[in-house]
Amino acid sequence: MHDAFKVYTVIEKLPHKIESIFAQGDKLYVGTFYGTLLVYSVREPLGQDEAISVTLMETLKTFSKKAIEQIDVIKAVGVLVTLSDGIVNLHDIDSFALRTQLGKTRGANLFSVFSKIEIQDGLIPQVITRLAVAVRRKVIVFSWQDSEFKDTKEYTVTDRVRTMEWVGTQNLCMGFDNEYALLDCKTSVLTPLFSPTSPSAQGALGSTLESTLNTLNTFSSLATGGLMGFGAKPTKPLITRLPNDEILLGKEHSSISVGIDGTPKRKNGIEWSGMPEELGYSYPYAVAILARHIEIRNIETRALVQSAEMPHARLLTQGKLLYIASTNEVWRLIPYSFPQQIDELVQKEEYQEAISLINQIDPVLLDETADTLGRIKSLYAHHLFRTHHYEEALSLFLDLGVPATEVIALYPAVISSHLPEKVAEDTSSVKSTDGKEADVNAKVTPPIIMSTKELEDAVGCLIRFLADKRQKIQKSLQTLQQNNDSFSYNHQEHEDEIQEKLHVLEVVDTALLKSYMMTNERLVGSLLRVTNHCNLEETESLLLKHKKYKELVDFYRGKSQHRKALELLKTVHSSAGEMQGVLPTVSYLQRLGAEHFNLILEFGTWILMEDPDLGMKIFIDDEPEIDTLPRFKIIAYLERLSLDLCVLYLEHVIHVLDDETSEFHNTLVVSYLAQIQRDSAASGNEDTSKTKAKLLRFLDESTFYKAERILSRLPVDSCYEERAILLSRIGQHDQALNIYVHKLRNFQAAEEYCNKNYDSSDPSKNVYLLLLKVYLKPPNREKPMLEPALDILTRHGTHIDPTAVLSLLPASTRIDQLFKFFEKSIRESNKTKHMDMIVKNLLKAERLQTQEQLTFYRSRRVKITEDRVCPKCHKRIGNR
Amino acid sequence: MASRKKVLLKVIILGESGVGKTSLMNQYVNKKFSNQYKATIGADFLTKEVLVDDRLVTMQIWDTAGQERFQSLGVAFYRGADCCVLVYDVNNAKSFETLESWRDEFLIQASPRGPENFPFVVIGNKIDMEESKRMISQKRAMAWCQSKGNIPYFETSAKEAINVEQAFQTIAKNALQQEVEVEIDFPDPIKIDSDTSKDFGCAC
Repeated sequence: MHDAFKVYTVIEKLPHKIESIFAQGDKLYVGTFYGTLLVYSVREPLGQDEAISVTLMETLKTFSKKAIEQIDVIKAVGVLVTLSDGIVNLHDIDSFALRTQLGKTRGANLFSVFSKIEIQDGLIPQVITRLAVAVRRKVIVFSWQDSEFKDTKEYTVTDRVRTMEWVGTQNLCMGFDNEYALLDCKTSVLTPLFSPTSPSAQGALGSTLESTLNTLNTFSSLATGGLMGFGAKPTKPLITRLPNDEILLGKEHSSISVGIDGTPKRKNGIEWSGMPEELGYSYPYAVAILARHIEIRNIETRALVQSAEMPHARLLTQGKLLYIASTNEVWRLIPYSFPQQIDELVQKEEYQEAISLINQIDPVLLDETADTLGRIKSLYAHHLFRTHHYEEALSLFLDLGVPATEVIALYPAVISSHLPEKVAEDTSSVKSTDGKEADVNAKVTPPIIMSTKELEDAVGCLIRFLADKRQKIQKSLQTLQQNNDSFSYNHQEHEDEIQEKLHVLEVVDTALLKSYMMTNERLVGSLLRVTNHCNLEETESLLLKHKKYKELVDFYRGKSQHRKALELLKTVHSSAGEMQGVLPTVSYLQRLGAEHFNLILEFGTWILMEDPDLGMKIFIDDEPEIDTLPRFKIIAYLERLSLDLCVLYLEHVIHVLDDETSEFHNTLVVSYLAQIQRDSAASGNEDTSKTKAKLLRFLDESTFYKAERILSRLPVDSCYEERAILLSRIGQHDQALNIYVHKLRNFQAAEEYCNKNYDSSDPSKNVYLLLLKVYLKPPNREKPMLEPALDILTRHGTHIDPTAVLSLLPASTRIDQLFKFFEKSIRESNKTKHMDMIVKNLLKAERLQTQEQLTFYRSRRVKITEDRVCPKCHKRIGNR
Repeated sequence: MASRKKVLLKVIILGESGVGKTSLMNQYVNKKFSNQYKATIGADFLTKEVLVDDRLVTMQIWDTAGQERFQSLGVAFYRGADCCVLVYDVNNAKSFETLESWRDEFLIQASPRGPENFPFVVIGNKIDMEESKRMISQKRAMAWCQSKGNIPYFETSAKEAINVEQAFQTIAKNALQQEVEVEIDFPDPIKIDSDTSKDFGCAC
């Protein structure tokens, strides 16, 4: 409740009984029981404390013979309309001389006047005036256009009209004893609305409106003591016109607003504390005269605004000027200025009322509507918050775009501790500069004390608020950053704005993190994994306190604080939990990429020491980042660490990734050798033979290592097979064969070697001959090995030049031992000879054919004349 | 029980731009597919009535713009979602790698009460393309889904209508479960209201 109106007494103790009043401009017309008309001039007080000035201007004692029941004015025509003795009279407004007595209206019990300026396109605006007079079961409507009388129309109605009011120039709303009805003056259709009394006494009309009103009534009568059935006194129908073609109809204790089409305009009707005797409207409030007092209510919120003791009040004026009269007193109710009313409401913390009032009144009546509204809404939101209506408060904060810092500051330290001290002060000081006294309230308010449950609720609502905020700020930050380059002239300003936004984001995200930590821990991880601006130190200490290591690692990763993350992982790897063991570190390292290669090496070491198998996954796994790492450096690093790991990695690089870098291939061979050497010390090792096998296969298969360089690294007294392969690589087939024959005594291997390496077209690969030499001309004067030599000759004799063979064979060789060789050899050479002869003759034939063709072509002639045209380019050949 | 009550399930589809969110929805609801790419602006929804465990429910499927993260959709949009569908393109590694962010962003925006139980469904779309173009193996996708609390995983082709029906059936089923749980948490205010008003009617 607040004071919307100031009540002034205008007339006191009038000796006459007041029957009717009407006000226009500064004039107040009072009609009495004995037919006297009193005209007063009423001057509104200028200041707050001044009294109202009232002057009696005219006393027309014999204005009428009977009581003046109703007064009105038709300004456009310049007449005073009165109802007296059952007839409507029109008097001149200035001289009060009778202009017309509307004879048709004999028996009238009430009238209603309505004027409206009609603006039609292209026409001069016209004042349309209607005067409706209720005469028994009839309504007569007189119309004027500007000051010209136009016509009269009559309508029959079902019952005696108890009250009526124009709704626009076409519709007349009427109240009968038992119902309200809307008369369309164009179509003469009378539409019943609903009954002003309780439906139980009336019988329901069955419309939906009726049923909603039923409930309404049920509630209202329950509220006032459930005296529903005792409707002894028939209710008086009451109609009041509201702006925008809306009418307010009385129905027992309530008033329902209805539109021009008869449908309810608002969800709920106004509930008066008693049965209204008269209903009025004074912008923007509804006024009702009750038994002992008057009530003023907000139509929108239906809240009681003001009530005043006015015993015996029975009349009130409709419209802007609000007068209320009893039988011998008249009061004037003057509204306080709206800013004043609003200030009062704010001071009383009745923010909803204030907001509703601002929404209803014309913005010109306030200095800065938008600002005031925003300010009050914000105050209201704060108020809601203080009264623990967190959900409403925060959605209002969101709608109003209240800075996140201001909202976070409302929360206890557990959420808001990261706010810089001055932020809290800033927000309140900003408010107090424009808020004047009203905000002193807010400023003095002690910190809000919440129970655990309340705090949880409040934090739950805050989460929604912050999630929305961070998204919005992030969006605007993005656009800012995108525009950064294009507007370089105010670069500094721009930069400042970005910094500001980043700062707010930090505050928001940190608060969100704390809120999650309090009510919804599972979301902590999500927040820290996406792009966030959580404060580093705050987040660190909070997460460490709650042992949220996984989330902290994710956070560090997002913030590129890899060293911190890795150190944390190392610290917690031995304690139980989801971050136990080396795997978390391994997967972290796997995703770092070449940029952080040194970190990978630094923190890879302890992993490789602890669990080499898993540790090697740092370098060997199917992650895109791993491919970016420099292999050379990894090898160098692993070599220093462990030979076996190095081999593992090289094998991966060469066999899986198909790396052809000869360095790697060399290193792998050397590493194998080193392994063999190391392992052979512990003799009988199974690994050695495995490694040997791997080495041999690799030497055999790989074509990228540099054999010369490896040869020099081979031990002199072992690894003959390896040496043989290497020698063959560099084309030293004789030496290789030497090894097979003399060192390994493996003739079969020697033969296989030849099979593999023989190439008849390459003289350097005439390996069979070389093998023969090895057998027959051994170094160091050893005995020539005739047996294997003859075997070779028997099997592969055709690949060897017989003359060379003969010069190699020792003189003691028996001729029959060579029989097979010769046979094959001769057959072979015969075959070659025959083949060559065939080829020779074929070539000869071919040559002859070619010659013949040549002769043929040479004999052809072409004659070129002037007209001859090239068939290709269509140019004349002769011209060229 | 409230089983006869009409249920509306809100399903939100998220994922990188161009993975086929709109196509999946269109294939499921309209049985249509177009090869032409048209970026979604903001968000759009289609509804479909589905029978889940003998219960007829209306599924409101929200297709979102993948192009710029979360476009202009406010927190309110994500609230009240019953299921979130994360879509990626099996031939596009990046679209798979960003699934986690989409999931996290969704959780932050929607802040469901039990984030660990909130129903997600992952869909690997465009399996109709030739095998050589495939970047994300089924194994890898399933491992990820498992690590996120056993998210159901489907490999679909909106183009060839492979597995689309099955995926959405699971989506509807899981969404309904969530909806039922929510109902238990917060009794439906409308229902109580209508009951009491009936009582009033009788008293007169």
